[in-house]
Amino acid sequence: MISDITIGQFMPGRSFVHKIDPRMKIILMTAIIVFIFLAKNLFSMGAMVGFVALAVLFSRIPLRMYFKGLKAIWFLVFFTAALNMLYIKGEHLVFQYKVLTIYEEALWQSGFIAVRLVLIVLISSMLTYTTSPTDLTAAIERLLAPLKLFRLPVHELAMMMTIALRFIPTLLEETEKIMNAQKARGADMESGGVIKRAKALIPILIPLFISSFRRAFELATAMDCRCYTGGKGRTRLNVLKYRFRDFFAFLLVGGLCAGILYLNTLAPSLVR
Amino acid sequence: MGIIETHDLRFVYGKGTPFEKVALDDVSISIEQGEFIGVIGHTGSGKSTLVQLLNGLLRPASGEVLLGGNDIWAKPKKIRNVRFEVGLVFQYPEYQLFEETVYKDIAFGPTNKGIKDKEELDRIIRTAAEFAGLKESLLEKSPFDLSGGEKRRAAIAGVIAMQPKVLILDEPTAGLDPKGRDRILDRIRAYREKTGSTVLLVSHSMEDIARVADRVLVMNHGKVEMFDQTKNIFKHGERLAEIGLRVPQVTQVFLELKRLGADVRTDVYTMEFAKGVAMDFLKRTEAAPGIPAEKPAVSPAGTLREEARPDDTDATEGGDAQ
Amino acid sequence: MEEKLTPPSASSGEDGIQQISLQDVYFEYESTDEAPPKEVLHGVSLSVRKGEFVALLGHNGSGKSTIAKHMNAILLPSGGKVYVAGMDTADENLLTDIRRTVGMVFQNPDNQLVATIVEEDVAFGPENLGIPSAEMRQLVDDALKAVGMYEYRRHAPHKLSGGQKQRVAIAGIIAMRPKCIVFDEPTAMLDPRGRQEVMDAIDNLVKKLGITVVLITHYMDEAAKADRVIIINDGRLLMEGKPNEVFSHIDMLREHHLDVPQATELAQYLRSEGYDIPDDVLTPEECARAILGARAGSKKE
Repeated sequence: MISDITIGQFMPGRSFVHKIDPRMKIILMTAIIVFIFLAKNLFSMGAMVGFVALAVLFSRIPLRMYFKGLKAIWFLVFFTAALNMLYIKGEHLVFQYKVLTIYEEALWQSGFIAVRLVLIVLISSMLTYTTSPTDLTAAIERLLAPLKLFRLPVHELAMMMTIALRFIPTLLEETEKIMNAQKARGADMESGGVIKRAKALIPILIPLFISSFRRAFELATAMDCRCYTGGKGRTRLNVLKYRFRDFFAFLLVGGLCAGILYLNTLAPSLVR
Repeated sequence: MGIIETHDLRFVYGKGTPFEKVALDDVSISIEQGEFIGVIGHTGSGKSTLVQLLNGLLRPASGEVLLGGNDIWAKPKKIRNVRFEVGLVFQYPEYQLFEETVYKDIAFGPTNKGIKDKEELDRIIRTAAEFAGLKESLLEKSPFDLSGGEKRRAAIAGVIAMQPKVLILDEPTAGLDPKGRDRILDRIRAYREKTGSTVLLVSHSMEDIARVADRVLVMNHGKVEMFDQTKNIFKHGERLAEIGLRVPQVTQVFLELKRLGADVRTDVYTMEFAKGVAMDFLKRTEAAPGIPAEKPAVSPAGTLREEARPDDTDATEGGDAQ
Repeated sequence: MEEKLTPPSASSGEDGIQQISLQDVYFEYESTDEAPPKEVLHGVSLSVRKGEFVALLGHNGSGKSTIAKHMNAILLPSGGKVYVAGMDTADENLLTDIRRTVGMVFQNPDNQLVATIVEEDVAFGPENLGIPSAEMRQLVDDALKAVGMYEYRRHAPHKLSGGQKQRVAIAGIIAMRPKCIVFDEPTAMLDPRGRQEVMDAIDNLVKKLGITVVLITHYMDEAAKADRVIIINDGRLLMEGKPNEVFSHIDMLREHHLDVPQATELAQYLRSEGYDIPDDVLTPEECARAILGARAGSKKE
């Protein structure tokens, strides 16, 4: 059933990666992604690959889940790498066939691009696999809090995210129900051209919109009854607190970043 | 041969995933043309899965569904035609209304069926609206301006308009007040009597089922628990309670009497019959105290409605349905 | 159970033992393009005492839900006054106080749950009230235990059954420590099992936590559990009294499209036939005992 799709693919667990404070996790993962791009020779990239591999293992998420994430972007990786391989010109020609030329520089470049993309996907999947959507929302709200000074409605955005996360499964279920009901009235959604198929969506979309508005209205009343008046003066049940392990993780990633910068100086850059 | 039959029907949700769950297993039933069948079972008993298998919205993992003797999945590409033969009204069907007017919404089914002739379509729509108890004046209104009960009946009319041989209604009275509920049950009963169609009524409410069904199918854990004449089903009140179904309150009264050691029958499920049995039970004592009773003089439930006592000021059936 | 969810200490403005009081309330929906203004309440006066369990009965469109929505200032009367613990609901400055005194549970459990995790949802109200985190944990845990959903505190609401969702919604209100909870047809969308769960939870509120309950319903067997039943028809009070008093007017109820518990109807019938059956039969058990009693009585003669 489509309602079984979980958003963000959170997989509960008790690993070290799971337990890192979500704010710290977001900061550290962002840092790692930046440094993935800064790793420019085999030493530094090797260190990065090693670190991500260890993190993946320590997250205790089944490896097939990561492969699932990679499968989705396999084509993109291949395509970007191939394009780079063909278009980048350099000094050391490796292969030539008529207009098709491949240079050594291009090989390195496309190889690095492929590795970078894979690492980024691994790291961001790790974030969503090991952090519940609720924690993510709370962390984003907290991290963006300084932007309130610039009149950015941070709390409202976070509330919207929470409600969206809460209602996506409900609305998916509802879509399925409406679809079945219209199919039971002989609606034909499997045949015909683009226009016919688009038209066939009307009997599904209209009831869905109407019911969403009704839900929104009822939810607003219910929130009123629970004294919701916006972000001002609100407290939280689960307060995020930095613990020792968060600083430990910070030091680890800090060490990695320093190491990358140092390793970059040991050999010439292979990519721009 | 029944109008609709199933043989060893089995259905599995989420096949091949870790969430795999057998929703229906080993279901073989046969329903005759023109029967009024009540289907009961608690949530998750497989009754909703069963009705979706009967009109081809779900495809069985194994076993078959026969409609008029033919396997509905013989030609999978033609499965849509089965849905016109077996009309299914979902729970809370008012949420499927989408057209600008009630008239157009009722026309959706028959138009999909391929009825193009304007006059014929018009006749079908008006007949369906009448069966559902919708006033002519409502047909040109937006379905979203109707009251809750009217919306529900408009949605039911939309399925009746496909002129199905078998009409299945999943919880058609859910969430309605007694007035709305009585009205819908009466309309369904009248529809069945006039068209001679086969009707399946899925409900949590034993009271509703007791009022209308000839036979009752009791589902439990994806299997057929009982499938028998209504009066026979309610003999098994204890068993029904055991599998989490609420028997009608009158039945509960007699089950409780029996539990307290009284010698009474327990296949009582309508008020009129209950009154007779209770009177009989009380009179019996006066006549022959202490002697275990012979069977009461009141006839069993099948013919009850006709026997409603004339001196009853508050006839339960249909009195408030205008 | 050890929940100590005593209501917050009585505010100084509390009006004796009356918690909610509607005084000659009129209400009309504003006119729209198509419809003229429509008056749905025509002078309703009623009051709910502290610790009482009141059921409001009536068919759809009778105005019972409109009355409920006046009890915590979702709607304001167009004529007359509504007081909650002595506070005038028309006073906007008192809105938060009114809503934390009288909580509300609605029909559709899906549309009242805000968060993606059960305990976070229950905490939503206390969070809005600015209760410190340390206290909140206790409030949330107690509320979840009171409705028997503590084991599900880390679950996602959309995976729960209807009855469970509704119990979470109730916990979300209990966690705000209201003195009174108004239930607007809380079981209408539930299956029999869900209905039973919710009714058990409501029973618990009344008996164990001493919370005042107003239950709006059209199920007679639910209303039979109340201390007092009020029948609403066409925006007016039609009848009021103990369940057995009200249910003895079978014809009158029928006339207004309301059911009578079958046990009551059967007992009334036997009584009218001259058998010695008490007039306060509400449940099947009581009915069975009454019949046996009548039989024993006639044996002696």
